[in-house]
Amino acid sequence: MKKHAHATLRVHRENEVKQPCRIALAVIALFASSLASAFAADTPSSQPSQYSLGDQTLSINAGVFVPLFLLPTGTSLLAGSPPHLSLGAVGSLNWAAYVAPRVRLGLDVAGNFTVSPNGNSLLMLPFVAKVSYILTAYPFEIPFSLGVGMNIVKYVDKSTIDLLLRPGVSGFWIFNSSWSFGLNLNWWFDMQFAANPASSRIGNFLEISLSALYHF
Amino acid sequence: MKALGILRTCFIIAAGVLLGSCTPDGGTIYATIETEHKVVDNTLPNDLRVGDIVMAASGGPYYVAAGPIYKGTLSGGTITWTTLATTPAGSIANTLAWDGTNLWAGFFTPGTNLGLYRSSLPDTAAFVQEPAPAIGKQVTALQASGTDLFAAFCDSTATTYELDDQKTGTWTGPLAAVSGATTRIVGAANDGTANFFTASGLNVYAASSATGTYGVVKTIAAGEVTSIFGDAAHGRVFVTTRTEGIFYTGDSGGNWTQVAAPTVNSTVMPVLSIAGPIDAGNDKYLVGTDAAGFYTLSLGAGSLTRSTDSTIALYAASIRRILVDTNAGVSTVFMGTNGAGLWRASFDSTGSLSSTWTQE
Repeated sequence: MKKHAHATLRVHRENEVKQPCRIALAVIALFASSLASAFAADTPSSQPSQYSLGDQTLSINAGVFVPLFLLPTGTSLLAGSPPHLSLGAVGSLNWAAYVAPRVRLGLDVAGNFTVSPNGNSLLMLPFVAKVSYILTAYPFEIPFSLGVGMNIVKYVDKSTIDLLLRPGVSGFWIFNSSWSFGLNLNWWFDMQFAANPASSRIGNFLEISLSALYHF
Repeated sequence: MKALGILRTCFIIAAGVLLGSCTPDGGTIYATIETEHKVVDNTLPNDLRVGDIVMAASGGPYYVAAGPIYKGTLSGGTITWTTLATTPAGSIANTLAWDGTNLWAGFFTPGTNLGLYRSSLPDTAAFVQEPAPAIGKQVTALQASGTDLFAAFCDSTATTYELDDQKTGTWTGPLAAVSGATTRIVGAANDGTANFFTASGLNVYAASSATGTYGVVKTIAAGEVTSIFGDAAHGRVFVTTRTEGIFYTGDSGGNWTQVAAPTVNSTVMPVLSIAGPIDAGNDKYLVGTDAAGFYTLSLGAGSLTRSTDSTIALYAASIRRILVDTNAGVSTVFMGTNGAGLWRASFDSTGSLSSTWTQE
């Protein structure tokens, strides 16, 4: 009786260990099959979009803002102890409308902050016009986007308005016809042209944010 | 048509944001961040309200009145701070002077003016109360100058102020005609000659000796004098003012030169303190303002230049006292603020900052 109980327990524990592996494998398989169909031969990239001209989206995003480096000096912003800037936080709202089944045009308003060694906050408030090309592999969407706009930057007693280029890629899981949830990766090229060219810099930052997207 | 409408709207918005992406004077935020250094934070509280700073000798020890009296001993570029025992225990100091033998301090407790105290061994010997002329009065300023010690007082109900002078243990005062002033006497100064200066309200006074009769040698147009500083080694006396900038004389008060008050966003900044010189050419002095940090005054250029490091709290601090200790061409500078602690840095013989700032 005891032997049987031990055997049962061992099988149960093996199942416990294997359960996450099975889930992971299932997710990978699902993702792989989605990718396979997305890049199938007839439509080089994806299935037909379920959205059409005039459909609109609203998304809310929040995540981590990673300072990378400055050009042309190559200064690594996270290097040093303490670093030039800390990891920060970013949040944004985005509205967009479909101008073609796979293309959205829209506007994005964001806000973020990071902190310097002396406790000064670097604040950014960008207003970006954004175009996205969406690959669909149901139940996933992969929008590739490019945002262009102005970035209001404030630091201690200084404030500037910079030109911002923001390419990015996202991955969304389509929950239903109204809601999708996903992850954004956006690279921020913030171009700060000073009156003295020697002080001009291009700030490079990475946004990693979670997103909830509503279709209407 | 609908697509064209959306495209047109997006194009107009994009054009708008792109046109807005241009700061007329350029931006230097990233260049500033790139060169920002973390301020070294020593052991004193960072919210000190510094009333006075004096040194016993070049290289220290340094004494700071900021509620308690702190004693700083410099060694290897770092200052070790200790707190002196006061008499009575827990009393608060607002002004200090070192006359070569004694550390003098004006003490009070909340609600009670105690008066003037001194100690010849501040580390070990208790402060003793000076019997006259200041028992029960508020000591508003102390200034040692050569063998003279000037003390400005008011009592708790007074509407007037008085100035007294002590030499070799004997007090003389109230000194005419500055005593009786209805506004605070900000201190006293000597220009290296027999002449002495003091200031109150709109007036700068001078006398041909420390205990002589003081007469008005300069009246400023508006605001009030906030401090007076004598550079005896170079024959200069400076007065700082709330709205008129800085006045200085190099001929014992015969002529005064004005340097206009600094402005920030068109707002005139009150000047609270001045000390120096900090360069080998004896041209540059450091000037503390109310809420705009410090400036460098160049007498030759007749101009004030604000410090450039906006990343530290000193940049927007109110600097009430500056002490310059110059030794072998290097000036150790202390700046005492109103609520932002005590700061220290070194300046080289050209008058340029040569170290990072330490917030003591």
